[in-house]
Amino acid sequence: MIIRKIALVGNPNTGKTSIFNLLTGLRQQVGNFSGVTVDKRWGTTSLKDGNKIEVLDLPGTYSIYPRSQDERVVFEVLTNPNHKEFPDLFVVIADGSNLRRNLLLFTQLYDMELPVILVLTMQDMVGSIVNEIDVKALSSSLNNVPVLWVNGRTGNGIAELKRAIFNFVQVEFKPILSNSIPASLDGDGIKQTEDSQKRFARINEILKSAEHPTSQIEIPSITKKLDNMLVHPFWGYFIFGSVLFVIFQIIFRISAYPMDWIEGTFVHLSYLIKSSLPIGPFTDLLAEGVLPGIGGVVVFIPQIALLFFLLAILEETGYMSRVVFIMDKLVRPFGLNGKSVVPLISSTACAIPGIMATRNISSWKDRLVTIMVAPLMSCSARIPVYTLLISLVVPDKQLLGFVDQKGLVLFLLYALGLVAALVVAAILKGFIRTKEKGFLMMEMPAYRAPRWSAIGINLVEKVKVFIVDAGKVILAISIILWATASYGPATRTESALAEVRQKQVSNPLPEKEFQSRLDAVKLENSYIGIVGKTIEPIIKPLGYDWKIGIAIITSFAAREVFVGSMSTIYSVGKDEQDIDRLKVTLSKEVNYETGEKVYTLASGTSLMIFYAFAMQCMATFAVVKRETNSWKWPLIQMFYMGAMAYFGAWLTFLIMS
Amino acid sequence: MSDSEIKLQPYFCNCQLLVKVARRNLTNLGLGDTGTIVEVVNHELTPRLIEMGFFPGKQVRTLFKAPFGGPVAFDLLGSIVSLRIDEAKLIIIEK
Repeated sequence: MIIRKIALVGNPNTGKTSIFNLLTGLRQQVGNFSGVTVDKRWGTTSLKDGNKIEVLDLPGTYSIYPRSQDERVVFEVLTNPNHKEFPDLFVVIADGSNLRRNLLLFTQLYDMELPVILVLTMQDMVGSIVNEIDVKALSSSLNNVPVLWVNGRTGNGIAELKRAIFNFVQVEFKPILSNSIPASLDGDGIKQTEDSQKRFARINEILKSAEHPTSQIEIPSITKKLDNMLVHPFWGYFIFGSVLFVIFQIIFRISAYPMDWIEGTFVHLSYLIKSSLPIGPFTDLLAEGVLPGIGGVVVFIPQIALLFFLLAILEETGYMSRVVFIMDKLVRPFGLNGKSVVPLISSTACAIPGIMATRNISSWKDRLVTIMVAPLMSCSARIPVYTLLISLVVPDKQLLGFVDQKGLVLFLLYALGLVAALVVAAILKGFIRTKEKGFLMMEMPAYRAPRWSAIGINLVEKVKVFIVDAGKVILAISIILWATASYGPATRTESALAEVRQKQVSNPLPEKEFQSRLDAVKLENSYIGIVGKTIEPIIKPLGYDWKIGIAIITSFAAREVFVGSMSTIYSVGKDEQDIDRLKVTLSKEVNYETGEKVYTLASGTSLMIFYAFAMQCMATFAVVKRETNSWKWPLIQMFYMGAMAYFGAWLTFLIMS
Repeated sequence: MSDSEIKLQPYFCNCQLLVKVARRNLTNLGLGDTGTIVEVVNHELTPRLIEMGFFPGKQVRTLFKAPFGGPVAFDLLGSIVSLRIDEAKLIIIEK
């Protein structure tokens, strides 16, 4: 029998992915199964004759009957020999320390007359306890299906596995459980229950000859001791809080360096292109549209990589499931799942890795609700906007003699993000309907040391997915924003610029100020500028003028762009020290119609509320599109967040003024 | 009473289910205590509970409970599985 393609199947937490990594090494790719957002991993491995075969890693599942999107994919591959992912051989990975439960899936596959090999893992755990499994006896009681041990950590047994694949011959079929056609029971819970119970009885008989008679599996004592602490009603939360504290310290302290470096490099590259290529629209496109677009993608990599590195450690060690365990009840009332907690908290650094981390939530509804509210959590890109506005409109005062008023406002904005996320989640819960029944039923693996290679591979994948899939959308939006901000109706722009140049002749400004003035006029008369002016009547009730309108539209790229746009509009430079000049200019700004100050406590807080709620981030938009596999959800998200921002800001302005 | 109302009756009073739940279930098991599963009440989640290892005849021990009425973790001899209270109530045991 010639094997060209194999698929790995098995329960979750069996070390299936380690074996996949051992087989394929770095020759692996990740994507989605067609039509659904379920991770698909595939790669190649070479057998002893040097021939390469394809290896597909199917999502982990406890049985062939699907209860989630991930498991549905497995069911579809298993039951349809014409499926384009259907392999020549199924390698079933089973946890040797929990063989009874793991064999259920194996016997279902076998009874579907599929070609199978059984691989047992976790021998290290089984060996330390008196549970020895005689693979020869097991193989013979399983009608001579090849059975072998592979160690996912050391790689022991991989060569034997490859040999077994190479030598595979399907032996004569004798049903393990007769009169049972597992695949036909999809959707019939009562028959499934019956069938599974019969199977467990059969598995008990089969294991009698293969298992050491006195075998008894004990939970490792270190896991018991750690659990006494980590799920403790007080220490459990205390430790989780401390872990989060450390994670955020690491992210904010460390990722700032590469991010600053990347931003600097891209500014420098733009400058290089502008100064070395001939002046013209193509150079501008490259220097002001394409490069900042790529920069806007690359700048997220340090945060994504670092956050996923830390989250992968939590996952690998087994701690993540304990977090889910202690948090589940607390977030249930809001329509969230214990598994939503870490993605949401990650979103206070940046919603992008937060949303990407929701893949672990197996219930589609819970996952969707988490994705929809994640951008409401106050991310780090809001900080520059908040800092500018707070220092502009919030008076320097101590409350009760020791609470700094500015710090308090910043804290309240963070709290607002969290409250808004929870409230919206509770509302969305009622709107999103699915056939799936939400459940927890979660395995809590024993604690173990992280496998660094697995973490590394996972990290590379996440970053690659972000660059390739989200990058396209981000780049496209960035080019559109650039084009509409740099071009306007030709006559209008030209006459406005000519006016500035004329003034320069009669009443000369220093060169730098003159350039800033030109930039400001150019933006004001660009298409974006025109839109900003046109929407003035709409944003007037919020206390904004057209200049703020332009800044809001341009900062759809990313929230922090607001500060840069304001600098351009008010024609102050964009250097660090210019932020102070911007503040001075803004504080003096008066409305051209009423003569009143533009930046008051009322309009300033209204603007802060606007930025707390509005989805001003094209990268989030792109990632939500990728993770939900549709334009529908990111559009709904943008709309509801926009509506919240508008009405929230309007109310704030009414109350404050 | 019209015909359709009479037909709906069994859904409003799933008496069989109520009687079974009133029996001793996994949530009645004290911390550290062991029981044997007798039955899993028929429910949407039953097949999954069975697949996770909660099948009749299996010994189960309560390991720890999350605060505020959160999930409960069980030792299934070979793995630790946590269930929400509602899920654990479906599993009938004897000591």
